[in-house]
Amino acid sequence: MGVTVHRLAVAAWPGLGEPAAGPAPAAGWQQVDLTANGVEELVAELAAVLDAGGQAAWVLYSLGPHATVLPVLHRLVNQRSDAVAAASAAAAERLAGLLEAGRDLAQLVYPPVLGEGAPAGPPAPPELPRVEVTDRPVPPGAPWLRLTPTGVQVAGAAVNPLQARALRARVGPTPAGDGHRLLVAPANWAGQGRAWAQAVQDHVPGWEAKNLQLRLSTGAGLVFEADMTVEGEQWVSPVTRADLALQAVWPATHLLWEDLMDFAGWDWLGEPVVSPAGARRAIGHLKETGRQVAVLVHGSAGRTPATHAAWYPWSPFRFGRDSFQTAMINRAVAVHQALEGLDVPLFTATLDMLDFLPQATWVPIVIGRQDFAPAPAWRPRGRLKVAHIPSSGLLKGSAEVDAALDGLDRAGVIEYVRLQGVSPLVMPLVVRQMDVVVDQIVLGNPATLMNQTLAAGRLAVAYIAPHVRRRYPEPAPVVQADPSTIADVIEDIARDPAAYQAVAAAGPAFARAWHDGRAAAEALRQGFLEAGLAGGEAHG
Amino acid sequence: MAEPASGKRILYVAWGFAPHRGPGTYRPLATVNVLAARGHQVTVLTVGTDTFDVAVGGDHSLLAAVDPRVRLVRVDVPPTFHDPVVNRWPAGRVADPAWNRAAAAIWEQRFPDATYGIWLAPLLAAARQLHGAAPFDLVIATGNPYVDFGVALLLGQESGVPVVLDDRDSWYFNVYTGQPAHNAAGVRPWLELALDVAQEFWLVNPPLAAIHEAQFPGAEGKVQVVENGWDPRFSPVDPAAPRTWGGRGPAGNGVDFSFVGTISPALPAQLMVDAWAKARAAEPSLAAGTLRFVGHYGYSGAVSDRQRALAAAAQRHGVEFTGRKAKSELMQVYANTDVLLFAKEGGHLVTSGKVYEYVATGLPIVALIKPGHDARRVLAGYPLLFEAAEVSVPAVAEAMVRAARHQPTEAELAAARQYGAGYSREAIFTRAFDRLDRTLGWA
Repeated sequence: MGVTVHRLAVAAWPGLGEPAAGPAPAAGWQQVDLTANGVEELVAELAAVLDAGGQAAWVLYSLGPHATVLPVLHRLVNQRSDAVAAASAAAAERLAGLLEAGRDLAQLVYPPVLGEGAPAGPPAPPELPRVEVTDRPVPPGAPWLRLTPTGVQVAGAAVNPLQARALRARVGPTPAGDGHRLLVAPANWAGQGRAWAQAVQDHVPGWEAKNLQLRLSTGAGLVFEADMTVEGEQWVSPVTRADLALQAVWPATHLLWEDLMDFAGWDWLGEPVVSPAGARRAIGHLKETGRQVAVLVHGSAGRTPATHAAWYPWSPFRFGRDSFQTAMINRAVAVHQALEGLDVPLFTATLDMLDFLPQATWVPIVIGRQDFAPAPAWRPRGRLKVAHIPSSGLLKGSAEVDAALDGLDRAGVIEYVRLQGVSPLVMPLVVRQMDVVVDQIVLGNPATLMNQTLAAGRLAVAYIAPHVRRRYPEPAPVVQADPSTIADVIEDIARDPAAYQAVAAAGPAFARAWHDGRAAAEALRQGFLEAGLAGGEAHG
Repeated sequence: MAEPASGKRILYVAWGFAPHRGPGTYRPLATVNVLAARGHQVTVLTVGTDTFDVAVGGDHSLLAAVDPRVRLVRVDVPPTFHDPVVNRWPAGRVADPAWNRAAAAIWEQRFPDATYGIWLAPLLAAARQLHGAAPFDLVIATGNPYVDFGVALLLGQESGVPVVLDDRDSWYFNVYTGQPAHNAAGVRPWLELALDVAQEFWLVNPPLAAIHEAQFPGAEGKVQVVENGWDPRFSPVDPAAPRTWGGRGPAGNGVDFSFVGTISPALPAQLMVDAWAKARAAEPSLAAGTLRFVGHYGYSGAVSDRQRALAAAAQRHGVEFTGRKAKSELMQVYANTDVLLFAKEGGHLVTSGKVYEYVATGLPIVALIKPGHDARRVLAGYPLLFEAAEVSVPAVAEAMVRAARHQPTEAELAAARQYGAGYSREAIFTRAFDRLDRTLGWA
């Protein structure tokens, strides 16, 4: 059975000198009243209670006041390897019961974020990758985590004692011998990371591919599928980062790093930030281990607002600068700086991005099997349903679209369907229910929704700059519109939809030729996966 | 009748599966067990046990009720804003009591189910992996939580595997008001997709089916009623128990009544007590009998002064409030009861689960329910029903007296038990799957 478990219900009366009246602890729980003044003093007072109690596992919860006790508990348990604090008496009792039944405290508090972690039963085979927690000092700015031939090495100074215990028991996945394994990480915007991984798996013989998504709280209103997902709140913990390194990164022979978002965080601790410089440092380490790395830049990470404003007549970046644009500028500058001299293959997802990354190779957006599901042919009748479904109104020119299409709706010319925040799972069905989908009319990027509209055989309307259109291997069946023409274009379609049926009918074949995953897999194969193999590899 | 189909590979998606111990756990248990008994290979996709063991609470004894032929695949869920382990909390959460609300608001945007939406991504990954390894012939998903429907929609759209969705509550409607729920605008596109993709969409009673068909006109033919029922493994009822009339209750003689269920603030407990008192004055067999309220009394563990006063005053009329009882004790309650008293808040969209347990007993039932309440539909054909003409003291008292004066014959008791047997979960799901076999062309 398990270790000795002590149950403590903690109350704090800082500065009072003696406890005041308060709620009683749950049955079977010992009440501890702390009276020191100040958080550190309260922590020390509570620690002394635990130290006096001998070797045991400690389970604690707050009797209140929570604003005082919770920070004390949080700080205490993160200093020790023998204690867990719970948010409620009921949860505390469950934890105590599990420990008494034999569950390991470290694994209970820090279960693996990915993978199996510490397998039950006999010791894991020695060839499985592991986490080594060392005493090596970590100078400021130096990495606290490194990949090694046997797994992952973590500096003990970066983790608390209980985290160290949990990590020492971790094992990684069984090495797949000489196989080739691609990891695509971490942005997965519009689900493309997963789509590209799947495309490689489906169309490049001999390759396994998976994607990892690091989902940050901000700007992540939509859920996209991913093979592995880590939440931003989880990523703050060094245990999570070590788990990612062991389970997702270590097994990979090749990494396609999206947007230079630093999902490694191997040389700093704290809240997740988009740090191209940090990503560049991690890429350097990966290359030292013999792994091959390429970078793929999605739109907003590499689109330089000044360049866009100069080249695109309807650029949203022409009209003053707000905090949103400032953030975009800063991010694009950081990405371009990090790319300077970075000797890795470079890819981008849309043809307009070659304006900003002329050295990049196009990896076409991949749309899903559900987008290609059979849909009734477009036979427009009655008032056309014209949809605008922006993910970002500013970047799509939604103000101009709304003004034009609201007017046409009021005049009875069309039925304007304005949606926002539509789940990607639902989008294929939504698109099939429309006649026309107006994507962006200012940015000039041929993005996912436009391609989904083509696949569904519905009429796509968007602004694609003439020089970008010429980059397509064949003419894209997309009706051109910008803020000055959108009203006329839609009115013309509504007046004579039959004249546009051939355009809509050409969409599925175009989408299947360039956006069903084969072209993307071929671009990655030629530009990265085969090139990496030609150079040979060492692993570890 | 054609032999039921057998040997199909069926994926059943249910967050709330054993050891989950909430009221929604019993229908999934019955569903998969009936499927396994029909010879299908059933895989349940559910959440990792730590969600129950650490975060929510669970009952591992329920796992013993799962047919051993059923395979359980568990997907771990990052607990994030439900995480009860303070060690893992980010500093911001420790410092800010509003942290949870902000986190929940973000999740509500991602999927119209703030509490369980976080399961969607790992759920989809696991389901696709299972289907890729060995394709399923059918996917059934049960909600709430409605994130369970996510995998069904994905596989149905992508792979063409047939999908059945089992809505045990109502994702779209508030069942107490009949109006769209507060998050209906976010739910609607999902439900439209679901009704487009699914072969069948199950609801628990005909009124719910009707308002769904009215709200989603393309859904006729897909919306099916699959009622709740009673399960002999979990219901404290023994229909075969020998019956004698009167004299078995605590008072030792007279006719004894019982109300079994939560005595919520919405229950007309005062009216029921007053009716009992009136009935007792009119009927000697009741004067010697007892009315017991058996179930949780109060709200969130606290009994109000008003409730306490009611219980105290009612004692002189032979009324007891016993509080909640364990299953073994409830079996004795039913064994010692001559007449059951049925009352349930809600309206035409609510059936209640207790009504199925009641008809399983074969006992006489006095019912006081508002016109249009769906429980009336279940009770309407019951041979030993004594319905109050209206929910008022005189009418309920009259029904009580009628029931007390009617000593049931063996034939009536047998007919009542037979009626109740038709509402067992096994019977209900057998009928549902016989129909589904025909829908899918399996039979």
